[in-house]
Amino acid sequence: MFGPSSGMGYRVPPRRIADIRAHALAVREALIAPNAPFFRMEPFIEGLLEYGITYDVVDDNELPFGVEACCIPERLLMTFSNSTYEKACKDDPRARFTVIHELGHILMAHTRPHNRDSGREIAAYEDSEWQANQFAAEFLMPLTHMNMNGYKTTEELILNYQVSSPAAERRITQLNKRNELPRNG
Amino acid sequence: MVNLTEFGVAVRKARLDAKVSLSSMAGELGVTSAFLSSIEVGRKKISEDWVAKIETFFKHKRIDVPDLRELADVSNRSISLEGMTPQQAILLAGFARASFSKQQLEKFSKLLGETKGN
Repeated sequence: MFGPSSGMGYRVPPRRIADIRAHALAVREALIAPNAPFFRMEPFIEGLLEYGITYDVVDDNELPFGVEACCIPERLLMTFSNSTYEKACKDDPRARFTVIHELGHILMAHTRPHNRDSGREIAAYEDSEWQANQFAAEFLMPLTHMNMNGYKTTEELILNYQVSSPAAERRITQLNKRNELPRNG
Repeated sequence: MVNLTEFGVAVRKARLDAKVSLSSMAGELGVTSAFLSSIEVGRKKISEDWVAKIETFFKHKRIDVPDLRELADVSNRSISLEGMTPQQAILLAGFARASFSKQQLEKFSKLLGETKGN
């Protein structure tokens, strides 16, 4: 069910897809008008202040090379590079995913442990990056909404949810593998 | 909200009231979002000039942000004596060095509020 970990994140309490999905949908319902497939990211980011979640925007060169955003879950703080934030405000698909990925880290309380580890390989379901990606996918492309509207193709996801083509492809592949999309016919 | 200074909280709340984002406010003021964010989180000091620009920005949107100058001073952790009369400056320096009790401070700030109101 879960592939091997990408090895990019750190170990966090394990979570199943079903748990992450339920969490993402509950948050989505609280923050966005129900059944709205698409929402504008610019006011969304600003509105998080009402829940005590703050963001900071820093010059691109203030984050390590290639880093678009990061967060400190225990401080409910997300930090975006200036270009990522500006792209998110223009609803650029990749930047939208980045914002919700960071929100996922915060809401799943991915605090970084500093313990010594036995070196056991991190499985995907306990990898902080995998979990945050799954959260963003569930939040931006909610399965209930997809099935309600009969969306089954990457093109439909790109068009209706303003996601990137790799994100849409990953979503469709995963859902097909798990038999969660209705069959044709 | 430990991430923002009191000044930052006031500005971000005013932005929510005005339904304006950081990006569009920065755009209107001719700076990057990163610059505006840096003064809201206290990474950079807030110059008098910027307090005035931000005040004017919200005034045009008919949003009142009370005590913005004072909040900026607290965020900067310094108060400029520039432009004060010697008497004002001495009074301020004396006040800063005096040790008041909590009750005295409360009375004093009430008195100041009343004086400011008139």
